[in-house]
Amino acid sequence: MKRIIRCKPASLLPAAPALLLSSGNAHAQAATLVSENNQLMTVVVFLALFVLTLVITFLAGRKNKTVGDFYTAGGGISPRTNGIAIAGDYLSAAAFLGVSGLIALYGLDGITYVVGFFVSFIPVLLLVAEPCRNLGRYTLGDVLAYRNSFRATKTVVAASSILVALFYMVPQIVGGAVIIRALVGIPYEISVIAVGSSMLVYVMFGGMRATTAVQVLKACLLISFCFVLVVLSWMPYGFDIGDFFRSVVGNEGIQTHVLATLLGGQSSMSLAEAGQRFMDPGLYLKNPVEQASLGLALVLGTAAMPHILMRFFTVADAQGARTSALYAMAAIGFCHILIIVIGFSAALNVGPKEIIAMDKGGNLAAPMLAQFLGGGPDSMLGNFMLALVASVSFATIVAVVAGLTLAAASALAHDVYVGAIKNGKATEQQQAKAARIATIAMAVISIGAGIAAKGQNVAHLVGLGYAVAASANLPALVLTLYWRRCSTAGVVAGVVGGTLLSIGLVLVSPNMTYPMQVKKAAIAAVADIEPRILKMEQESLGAGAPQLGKLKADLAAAKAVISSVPDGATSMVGLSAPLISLRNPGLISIPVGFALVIIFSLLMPSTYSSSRWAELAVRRETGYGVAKAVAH
Amino acid sequence: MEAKAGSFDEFMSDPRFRALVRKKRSVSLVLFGISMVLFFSIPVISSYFPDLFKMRVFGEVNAGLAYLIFQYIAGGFIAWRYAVMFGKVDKETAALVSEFIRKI
Repeated sequence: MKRIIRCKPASLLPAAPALLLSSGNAHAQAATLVSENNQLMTVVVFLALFVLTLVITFLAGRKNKTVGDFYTAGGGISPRTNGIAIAGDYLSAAAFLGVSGLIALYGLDGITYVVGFFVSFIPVLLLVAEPCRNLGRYTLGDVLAYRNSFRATKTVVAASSILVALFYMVPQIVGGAVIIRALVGIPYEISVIAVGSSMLVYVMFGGMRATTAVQVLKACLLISFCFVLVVLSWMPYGFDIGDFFRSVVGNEGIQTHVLATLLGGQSSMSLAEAGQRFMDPGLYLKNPVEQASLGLALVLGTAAMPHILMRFFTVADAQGARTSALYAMAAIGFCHILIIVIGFSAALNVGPKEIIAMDKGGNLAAPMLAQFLGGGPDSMLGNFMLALVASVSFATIVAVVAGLTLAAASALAHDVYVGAIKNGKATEQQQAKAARIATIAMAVISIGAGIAAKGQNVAHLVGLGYAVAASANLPALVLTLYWRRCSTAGVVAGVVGGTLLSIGLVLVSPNMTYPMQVKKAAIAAVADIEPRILKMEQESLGAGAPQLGKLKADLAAAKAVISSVPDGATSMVGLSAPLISLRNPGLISIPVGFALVIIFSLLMPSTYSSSRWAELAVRRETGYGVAKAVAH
Repeated sequence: MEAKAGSFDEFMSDPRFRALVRKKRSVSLVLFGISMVLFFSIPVISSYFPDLFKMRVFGEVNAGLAYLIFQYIAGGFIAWRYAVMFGKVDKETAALVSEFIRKI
């Protein structure tokens, strides 16, 4: 029985990563965007950036003396630097490449998607940034263990934090490798190893300081590059936004794309109406419940993402955490606005048809726009711009993955080894050693998972990462911080239950492949294609050869699917059809996560948790004792 | 100096501390509520009242695009408002903590 984990990219709402990954198989054999003649220049730009980051790591690593330096740079990062580093940590390749492609292909709906990534920082700012800084040292486990059983809390929270980091990290590595391959032709496995090894070097030798520096560099590069693309896009229109959008709506390529591709040639719209339709909602996001479910996971999950929370321990106090979040929101918001313009500009200047021809997911929209604005594929500047995009994309992936690795390694070393195993009693030397071993372990796991995931669409893992964070970590965190009656039993039940429920719901969701449904679709495709081929062969006698060739290829593919799927084949968990219609489980798992913490806290109250409430509340609000946390 | 557990109970029952917490919570919750209503109105409007988003605001720019861009402005305003309000509370908090440290 063949069991495949795959999802339909067009309907998976963590759309950008989905698109990133969906392009992988489609372009396994396709030509790269960077031509052979220009690959040397691209490699030189890559190497220049890599050497720069190595120098940064070396300089940063020299300052590391203690375990606190390794995990949180001793709390000595300035709020502004930390804010920009948070932006660098958060602005993934999916946001830059995936969202710009989504907008270039689907217009307004692409923006609807990216807004959630910005709004998700409001709960971070309002609910968790300052209290976590006032109470925590290195990890989410520290905050939760403040008034809950030390070992039990640390163990379950570490497990869920590592899972969240892995769920988020694997698609970043896989998607990144696919994009690098499509851009410059570096083989998939080498890309994965390059990303994993770079991240290992940064984190292992530079700890939080180097990770911060790489993230700041990446954020600055990404925002600057996006800014240049926007300036070049608007220049021909005299920076008149109205004129720019008039051109988008009036562009024949976009109008035809809306009519023929997005509306399936079934609409009686005029070309002008089709152009305006590109600016209207409903071309990509069609299910409001699904949209709300993903939105909820995204907006609440970010506030409990271990790599985001960890960044707030790198500043001196709660005011620093607040300012960091403000800077992060400003940088992320500014970059999003630029990405929105880049998406529309790619549709206008490159054209949806050309973008799809290169990558059906649209992920190469921004690189193609850069090449176009630089003078096209035959110009030196155009190819230099393309080399820059490729390098910035690589830096983007490495920076995000480095942050995730550090967070996962901290959970493993600080929460599991030092916390749960040594019960908090480990020497500085033991802690430092554990941190480095954990970093190597996480790098090996992520590289292994990345290589194992070759050819599989693991995009739904991003949504799952957010769902687990929002359903398991967030209820435990928020109720520990703000509810007096919260107890260890509630926290453990919420974290374990929220994690298992999120994963379980995804396993029975439409994200999984249901072989019999695939076979059924293939049978329908054969029934549709065969008469069309026959008709074309009879009518045109080969005049429509390219179309005929494509239909024959589609027919062969459909027949191959039919023969490869045995009757009675089921999904990974033995289902022939999904049990729920939601792709992202947030709408169900988040309320259940909160309910579990509340119910188990009420059923199994803890004297210890209650006795620590007053101290937690005072420290949470005032930051009293925070200096101790910084000094470690 | 490290405080004893009992002194935290005393601190917590101080009416000034309770007022401070109430003020902070109300600011956070109101701003959080506004941001969530604004954000989740997007799928509601785009699915159930799409014509609202199709209305032209200026030139070819429609209300949908304007509303999505407005989310960034509103988010920025919420963050700024939060920072201002909490910045004011910081001084009161610092005074309370100083008093607390003197007592213990």
